[in-house]
Order: sequence, then C-alpha cells, then structure tokens
Amino acid sequence: MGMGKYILQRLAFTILVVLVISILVFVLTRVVGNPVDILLPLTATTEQRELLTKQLGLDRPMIQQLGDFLKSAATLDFGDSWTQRRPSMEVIFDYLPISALLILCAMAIAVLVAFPLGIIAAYKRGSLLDRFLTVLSLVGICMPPFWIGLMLMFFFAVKLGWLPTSGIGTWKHFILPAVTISFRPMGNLAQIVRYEMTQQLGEMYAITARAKGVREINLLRKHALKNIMTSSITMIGNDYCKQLGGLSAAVEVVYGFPGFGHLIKETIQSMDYPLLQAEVFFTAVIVCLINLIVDILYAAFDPRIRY
Amino acid sequence: MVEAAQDILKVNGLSTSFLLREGEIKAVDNVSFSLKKGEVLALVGESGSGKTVACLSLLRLIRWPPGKIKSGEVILDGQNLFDIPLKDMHKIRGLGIAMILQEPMSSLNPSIIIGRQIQEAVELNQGLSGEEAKKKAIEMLELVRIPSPEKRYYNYPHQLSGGMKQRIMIAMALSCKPKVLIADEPTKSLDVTIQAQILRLMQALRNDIDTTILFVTSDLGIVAEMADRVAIMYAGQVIEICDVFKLFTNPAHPYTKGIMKSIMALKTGERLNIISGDPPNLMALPTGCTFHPRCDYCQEKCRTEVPQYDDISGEGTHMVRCHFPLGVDKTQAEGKGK
Amino acid sequence: MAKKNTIKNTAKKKVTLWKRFRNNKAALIACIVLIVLLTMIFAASVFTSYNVNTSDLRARLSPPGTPGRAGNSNHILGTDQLGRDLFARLLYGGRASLRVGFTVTVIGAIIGIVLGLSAGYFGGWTDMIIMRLVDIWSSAPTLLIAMTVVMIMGPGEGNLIIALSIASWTLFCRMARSQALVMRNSPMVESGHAIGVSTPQIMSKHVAPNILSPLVTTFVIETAHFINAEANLSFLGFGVQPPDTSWGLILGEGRKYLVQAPWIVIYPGLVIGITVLCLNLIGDWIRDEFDPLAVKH
Repeated sequence: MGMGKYILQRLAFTILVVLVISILVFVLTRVVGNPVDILLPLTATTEQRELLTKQLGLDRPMIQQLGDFLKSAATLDFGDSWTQRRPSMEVIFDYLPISALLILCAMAIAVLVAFPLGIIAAYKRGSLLDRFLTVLSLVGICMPPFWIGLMLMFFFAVKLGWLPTSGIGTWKHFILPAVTISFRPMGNLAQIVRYEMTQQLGEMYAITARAKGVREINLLRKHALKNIMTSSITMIGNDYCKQLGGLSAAVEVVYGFPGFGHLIKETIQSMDYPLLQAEVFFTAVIVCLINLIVDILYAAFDPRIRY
Repeated sequence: MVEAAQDILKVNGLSTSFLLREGEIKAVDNVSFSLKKGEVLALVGESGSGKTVACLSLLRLIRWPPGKIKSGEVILDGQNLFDIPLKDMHKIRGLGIAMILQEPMSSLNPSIIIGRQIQEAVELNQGLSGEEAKKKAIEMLELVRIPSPEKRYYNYPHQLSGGMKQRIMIAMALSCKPKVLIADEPTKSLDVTIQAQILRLMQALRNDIDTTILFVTSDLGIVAEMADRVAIMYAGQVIEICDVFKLFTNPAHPYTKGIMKSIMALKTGERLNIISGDPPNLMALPTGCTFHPRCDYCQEKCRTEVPQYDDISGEGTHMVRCHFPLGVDKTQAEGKGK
Repeated sequence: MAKKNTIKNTAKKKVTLWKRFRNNKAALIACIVLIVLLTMIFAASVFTSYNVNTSDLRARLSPPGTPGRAGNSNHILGTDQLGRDLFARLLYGGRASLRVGFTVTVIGAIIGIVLGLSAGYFGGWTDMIIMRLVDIWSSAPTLLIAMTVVMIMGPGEGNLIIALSIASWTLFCRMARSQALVMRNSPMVESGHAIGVSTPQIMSKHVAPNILSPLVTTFVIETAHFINAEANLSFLGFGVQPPDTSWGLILGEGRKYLVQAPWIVIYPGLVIGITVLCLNLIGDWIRDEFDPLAVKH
C-alpha cells in the first residue's frame, strides 16, 4: 500500500468519525436539552423565550437545522458562541494551543521520567526496587489527577511559595499543571516500558546479543529500546488524546489555567451549543491526526512496517 | 583428533533445572564432557533432551526465574566460569564462547541493520571501532559468502532469507573470534538444500579458521560429516561419549544402538526399528536408569539403581552411563581400567 | 527451544488458590484493605454516629480529632465547611462512588460482551459494522460526550451512570470478540467436537476458564477506572449532586478550603487513590496468576 493511499484512507476515516460524533452531539443537544432554559433567567417571559428560540433558529425542523449546521461546518463555520458572542473558531484558537502546549510539556516530563524508570525496573526485574517502582507507577495512575494537583499546589505554591498558585503568564505557571498532568501518562508509560522490555529480553535476539558479549544494560538501551518504541508511542498518543479530550479539565480548573479543558467544562455547563460543536469537531480531528502521526512514527522505528 | 592438545573446555557435573509451580524440571542433569583444542564435538539427542539448555548454561544465559544452574563447573582455558560474577560474564561471552542459535528467523534484532549487528560483535571482541570495525564486518559478510556485502550491510533482517540470516549468525559468532564456538542446531529450521549449503560453509570455515566447535544436532548424518567425537544426550544426561567411528561401528548404550539401528535400517532397507515408548517426562523421571522403560535389555538392577558414568575403553575415550553396556563385559572392563 | 517442550510435557500439580495468593504480598494487603474499606462503607452506621448531612456551623472546619459537641463522638477526620463530620461523609459518599464505578462497568460488560460475541460469532457484515463502531468510538472524545450527556439530562447519579456507560463497553467488546474468534477457530474446540464432546461441555470445561481470567481482570481494573472517572466528573460538577454525596463531590466542594482546612481535600483523595490502587493490584494479580503461560518459582 502506498503512503498516499494510506493517508487518504486515514483521512476518510477521520471524516467519518467527525461526522458521526458531530451529528450525535447535535441530535443529543437539540432533542434532549433546551438551551433557552439555560440562557434566560427563570423570570423570563414567554415572549422573551419565543424570541430567543427564533433568534437561535431552534424553532425550525430538526433536519433543517442539522442540514444548515453541516453545511456551515463544512466551511469550518460553527456560528457565534452564545456566551462569548464571537465566532466559535476564534474562541477555540484562544484556548486550544495553550492546552496543547501544556499537555505536550506534561508528556515530555512523563517520557523523560518513565523511560529511565521502566528500563531500570526491567534491568533489576524481580528485585525490591522493581516492585517498588511498579507500585509507584500504579500510584501515579490511580491517584485522581485533580487531587495530585491540589496537593502539589498546597505544598509548592501555598506552603513553600516557590511557584504561583494559579493563572497564566510566565513559564512558571506551566510547571505545576504540567507536572500534575504528567503523573498518569508517566505511570502508564513506565509500566508499558517495563513490561515490553522484559518481553524483549526473553526474545531470541536478546540471547544472541548476550552471547556475543553485550552487557545487559546495553542490551536494554541499544537493542530492546528500539523494539518497544511502537507500543510506547501508541501509549503516548493515546494519553495525549485523552488529556486533550477533556481529561485535563479538572487539573486546569484546579490551577485556574485558561485552557481547552477549562473551556470544555464551561461550555458544557453553559450549554453554548455552537462552541460545543466546534470543540467536538476539533477534538475528533486532533485525535485522528495524532493517530496518523503515531502510525507514521511506527514506520520510523520498525523497519518491517511500510505503508 | 588432536591427541596431545589439552582440554580447552571442560564441563563437570553440570546440572540445570527449571523450578516451576508444578515442580522441578531437571533439564540438564550431571553432564560432563570436554573439548580439546581444535576438535569438533557433536552433542546429539532428541528434542527436549536438554542440549540447548546445556549450551545456554555454559554461557550462563539461563533466565531466572524459572531456570537455574544448580551445580557443576565449566572450565574454559583453566578458568571456572561459575566463579566469575554474573555481571562480568559479558567478557567471557563472545570472546571466550560464542554461540549460533537454532532459529535464525528470530535470532537477529529486527530493528537494527545486520551490518551493525555484526559490527557490534567486532567492536566488543576485537577491539576495533568505527570505520575499521565496519570494514571488518563487511569482510565477515564476504567470508560467509554473502553476495555484494557492502550493500547487504545496510539490510534489515526481514529483507533476508532464512539461509542468509543463518550465514549472518555464523558471521556474527565468528566475528567474536571465540575460543569455543557453540553451534546449536544451526540448520534445524532451514530447508534441505539450504541446510547442505550451510553445512558446507561450516566445514569450509572449520578448515580455514582453527576453532573448537561444540556442534549440537539431532541429525546423525551431520554428525558423521562434521564431528570428531560425539556425546549422546538422553533426558538431560550424557549417556555416551566416544569418537565418531566407534559410535557408528560399536555403540555401547542401548539407546545409542537404537538410534543407530533406525538410520541403518534406512540404508539397508530393513524394517524401521524405532525405539519403543515415549521420551520421558522430565518432571517425573523413571527410577534407576532413566532409559529403562524403553530399553530392550532392561534388567532388575536398571529399575532401581542409577548407573554410573563409566569408562569402558580404559583410556578415557569411551564413556557410558549404563549397567550393562553392549559388547562389553563390565567387570572385565573395570579390571582393565585398574 | 527445548525448554518449551519440557514445560508442556509436565504434569500439572494442583496448588491451592490460597497458597498462590499468600505468595503475592501486595495483592494480599490490597485485598484486606479493600475488604475493610467495603465493610466500613456498607456498615457505615456501625462505625460512625454522625449523619451524612447533619451540619453544625459552630463546629465548621474543625481539624481531625476534635471532640464532638454535645456528647457526640470525636470528629476522627475533622469536619467540612458546613461542620459535617468528614469521616461519616467519606463512608456514606463511598457508597455512591462504588455504586457508579461498579454499575457502569457491569453495563459496559453486558453491552460489550453481547456485541463482541455476536461480532465474533456471526462475522461478515455484523462483525464489520460492530468493529467499525468500536473504532469510531475509540477515536471519539468520550469524556466530552459523557459530560454533555450529563448536562442535558441533568446532573445526578443515575444520569452519570448512563453517561459513563457509553464509554465503558468498547474494551469488553474487543475482548469478547477476540475470544469468540479464538473459540471459533480453536483446534481445541474442533478436536473436542471430533471426539464427541458436546458444545456445552467444551464451553464450560475448556473455553470458559480461558475467557474468565481476562474477563475478571478487565472487570476489576475497569471498575477502578470508573471510580476515578466518577470522582473526576463529580469534582467538576457533572456528577452526583448535593444533598447526595460522593468522594469526587466532597473534593469538589472542599477544594476552596484547601488552605484553611487541608484535611477536607487530603482524606477523600487518599481514599479514592487507595481504593483504585487496591483494585488495580488485585486485577494485576488475577491476570498474572491465571495466565497459563506465566511461571513462578
């Protein structure tokens, strides 16, 4: 299969995903919920309600609304945000990049810590250190991230005063949220690195390498590492998608970080439909994009894979 | 056979077990043999008889858990390998003993170009580096008759055929310039024509570079072609060692005789006379002689008493683990030994 | 390698479950902790005399160990912003958290297994459509969708369970399908038929044990996962609503008092973490212990 054909296939799948999810959310929000109840105070008169319903176009038949939505969505126009009163796209571009960067930092931290830890655990497999590291990585996965955030904030920002408690502005504002978000991917990655490494060490090629005099630690670093990259990258990609798809919201809320997760939470709570649709669209696209990048990276690390 | 040469490798009472939840598997049980400089010793036995485990034990490549070397000594050039701390074993591996594995398809690292993998062996064991090592690696590819070695250097394992990969394995093992080379069924998973090519290559190389080889196989045809002496393994034990000629003319152990008969039958067109029964369960080995349930000559003593590993030639060239070795009156042989 | 053959040839000696369990200290401790925790949560009224919603504004934000007023017992873990006993709230709140985690996983398992088995069993178009759906769903921002569902249906425990269930079935579906495929193509099953063993017999004696271990493992670990998810959503205000309570909600309400009364935040988080950790350790143990290929000394 050629590279071009492969990308085209992937693109088709992306469009399918985005379409299905967008329609799903559209139907869900229009059928079950009523934004007028949320946008207007309880004291609003019937006339006011009807007027707003008309303004928002909610009085027209559902299928017509959906048609219009898809038509404009195809040109990346999701309409004005109801709460911010400006194009939804604009709002997204205010919030998405900063979160993407934050989560990228978190992933970088996770990779830098998890790989050495996973390799050490695999090297010392069966030892007390290995067991300790295994439980430690489990702790990283199990503790609620927003709680870790609160604890780190309490200790480093409130008690020690080393870092700002919340908000945004300097690079220092990035440290605590990034570290907090990094815990879960770090645990996931350390576990997969350790597991895959021990699997690799039982492979025949590992025996060959040892038989020619390769030290155990070099066997891990030079031989096995390259072979576990595909599964590690899959894990990193997955975790990145999950964080950007709303998992980081709680941490962003804790630190008052004006990012995409925060925006998602606010949007859903205020039932800002156009903005919500835009968010759904972008998360779905990004997830597919990252999966594509992951697949391309596969080929870079595993010479057997060619598209 | 080089009579005067000293033993370069001596294995004494080697025992390796796998300790599983269900019990202990004695994969290698009290195995002793030795190799003189420059000779080829064939280690023969059916699959599951512990040949590979014995080889891996020599290099201390048994993974714990579940595998464990329980006792014995491996003396390479006067040095007991089991006295060396495990973390220093990498100095012995390669330069002291190198190994060709039986499964070329999976024995090369799939994500590293083959040239680099050979070069690594060169760098680790010949003290060369950089361009020099690369040149040497390409030389090695040439040595094992790989066409256009400069190009092949950059190939990944999946781009090569099985026979080519086994050549690479041989080149890699030889790049270590080992004192002893272990070839663990190097032709097992290859088809017949490729097998012949690899064997021819190994024979040629054996004459070119003067190495001591421990050649593991289950194919007696290969034994006749390659080996000076033969050790027969059964159920984790070496049951007979002698030189090739003696093995084919005068086997002393009933098991050896059984396998000899089965290949002779092929030649003479007699009815194939296979050894009756199944290979033993290593977790519940028979009492006494492990071969007794399948032995045509079994007697009461065989069921209860473990046979000693005896010299029946009187000069240490023919060892047998049997109460009643064929063609020998044991009491006489013992008298001669004294 | 010779090693593999010999392992296959070995006769199996039965080792009691308890003995295996005893060998894994971490899983043993996890199990004991979890049992203690569950007992305390389900028999909460035995362990605390306080009510979950009885507030006492004069005793608000009392630190752990403060003696109770008017002859009441001590506030072991202190009180919250409304003077409610934190220990009692943790015990009663745990009920909702565990209920959500467990129910969501059960629903996910049922939907997933039914879809997965039919995909694997029928194959062809059914398989293609179901697996495409799983693919799409795996690429979808399920958390975002779950939040949306909760919001339009109205926050609360029931709706939270519905919302999270839309994310919990894919894993079970994949697993059930692969097992169904294994079943269909397995020489074990075929040879069983050949020697006249009936289908139910094959299923119960040979297929079920192979499926059961991964199923139980997945179930335990997914339960842990959704306890965490409940906490996450309740913390953000998409989950359980007052006057009901859950661990995530206690954290969400208490976080503003982090500086004055850190215990309101510390203890609920620890309880969530410990519960989830114990479940994960137990899940890992089940997987390792019942994997037919695993060997231990």
